[in-house]
Amino acid sequence: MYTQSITRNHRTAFFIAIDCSGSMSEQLRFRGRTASKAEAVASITNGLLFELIERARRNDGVRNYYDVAVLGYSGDDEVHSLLPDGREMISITELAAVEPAIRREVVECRTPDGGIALRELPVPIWVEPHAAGQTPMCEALRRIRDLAAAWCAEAAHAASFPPIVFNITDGEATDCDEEELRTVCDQIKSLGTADGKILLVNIHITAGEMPQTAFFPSEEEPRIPNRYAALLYDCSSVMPAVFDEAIRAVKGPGALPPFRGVSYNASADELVAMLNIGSISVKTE
Amino acid sequence: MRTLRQYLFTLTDPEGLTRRLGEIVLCRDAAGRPACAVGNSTIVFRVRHEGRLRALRCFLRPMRHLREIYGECLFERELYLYTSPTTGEWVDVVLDEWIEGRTLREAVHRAASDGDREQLAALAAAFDRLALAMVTDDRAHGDLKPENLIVDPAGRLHPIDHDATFLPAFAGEPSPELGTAAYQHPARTAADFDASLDDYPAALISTALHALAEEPGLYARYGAGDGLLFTPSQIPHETPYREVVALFERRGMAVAYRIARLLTAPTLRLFGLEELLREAVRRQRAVERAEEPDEGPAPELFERGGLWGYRTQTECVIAPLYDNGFEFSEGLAAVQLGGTWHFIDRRGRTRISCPDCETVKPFRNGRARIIRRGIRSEIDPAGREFAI
Repeated sequence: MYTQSITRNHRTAFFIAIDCSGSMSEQLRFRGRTASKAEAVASITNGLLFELIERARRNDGVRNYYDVAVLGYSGDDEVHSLLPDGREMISITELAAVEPAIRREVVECRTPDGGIALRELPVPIWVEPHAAGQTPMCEALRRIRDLAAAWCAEAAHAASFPPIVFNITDGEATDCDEEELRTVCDQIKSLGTADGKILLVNIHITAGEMPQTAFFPSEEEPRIPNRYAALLYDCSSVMPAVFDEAIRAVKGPGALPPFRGVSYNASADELVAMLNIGSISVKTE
Repeated sequence: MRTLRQYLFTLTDPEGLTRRLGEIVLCRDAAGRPACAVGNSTIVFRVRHEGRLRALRCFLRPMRHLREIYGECLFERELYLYTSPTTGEWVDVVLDEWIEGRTLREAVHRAASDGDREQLAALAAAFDRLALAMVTDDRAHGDLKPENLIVDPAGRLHPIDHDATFLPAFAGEPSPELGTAAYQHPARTAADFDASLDDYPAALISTALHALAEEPGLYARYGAGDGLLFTPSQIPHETPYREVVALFERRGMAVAYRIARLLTAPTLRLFGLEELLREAVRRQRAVERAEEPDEGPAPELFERGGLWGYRTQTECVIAPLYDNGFEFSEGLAAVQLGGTWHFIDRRGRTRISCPDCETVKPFRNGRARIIRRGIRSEIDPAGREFAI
């Protein structure tokens, strides 16, 4: 289980659900500057898409290693694709063929000798930030459930490494109760391929430093005594052993698996780590 | 976990971010993108250093034994990698020669697409020479595949990406990775970490290259997969494998046939592979030198390991590769490979193939009797058939 490498004939899929509710306009410090949570998440998502494209690039072009879906949820039960042209799902090869807008970001960096230097980096933009309205998380997850079910049902994906679903949010769902959220999460986790069930990773982010945090918690770590943290924990998948090395590289060698695919009160840096661990750590060939 | 973006952020302007290497200039491709090759664990950037093109190998995750593997090419804690605008870490890099050329995969793709048998045969010969050296030494590459072999303009092959290397000093450790499944024995596990790791991929790639040199059209039919032609987990039942073995049998390609048959072995170590590759290289050198058969007494039939070959009093001249054989007669010997009879000369070259023949007899007075589908006939040394 969870042993299939990603190849041209066995590609996998990543489904990213992003909370675009009004609270995502809250400001935080991100890469040395002040930005909204929505801007930080969009930037991080664009970074992930760039990484996926470049990791699939070979001399013969960008290989079809991944299918990607990025859905935003906001407003009044609005779930919409954040990908170019509004396509709900796109292959990484097709995404690489889309010329993205390029934003030149200037970052103030501290050099190893303690000095300050300005560094410029071209940043491709596929996903734009949004922050407005409510948090129709359940509706987004139902849409992802349907997309993932269709993807897993395709014969070409029968033996693939199962898809990974990332749900990035800063708050609670406003379109369902706890039971409905558990139900749709369980439905997602029940889907899969011959190589294993879909992995659902819930990432709760926060703007400031909070006293109670969780990052890929292991079973021996004390649970956060918070109802919503407990709910997200239960809704998330146990990460299979193939991810242990990558998780322990961040948490430290003392961390013992199995780890739960969830974070609570995560920082932007931890969001980056969770997305990277859940995506680019899976072996490609 | 490190990302490509982090390395690009650093290497776009690496001034002040190296300890000893000094200035490194990132090369770019025609589209203006940094010239790099991204693998599972590494990124190799093409850079200019001290006026020369070099390969800067950067690692996406912690790696073991880099000093033992890369020696003086390793620069420990050399490059400052930004992890955030205000923090970073000094990471190891490897600076090595840049080998100009194409990967073996690319070379095969081009030659097969062009139907260039000569080029494919040259690649097969070059690979067999390299494979012989690799399976006979005390180390293993660990991830031998066409994408990890560079064909230089002179046609020589250069292995790259040594992160999965086995060295004798690593004996007893688990393998850091399992190689690329499309070229590895299906039974390989992390516990398999020794000098025989390259046996199976060597046999697989040699088989594929020799098959393509005979039938370049195989690539269009079977080359779209993750491997060159085959899927190891489906050998021996898959169509491309069976087709290739039948091709080798039908054309009397005894060495290639035996190497291909090794791919059904249950063990990662392929017993007899070294001898077969040695024979392949020896035969190729004889062809290159246009060597002609010895005019002395005909070599005699002998058996070893259930297979038949030919030897003189002093040496084995035709390795035991055949399932059956007759003594030499009038310069040719009838031998059976699989279910097919052939006549070979004293250099082991197949001169006449007799597909669908139940039996053949040695040459006598310029003719050899054959029975094909129950019908008796005769053939001459040119292979022409005559009714009797």
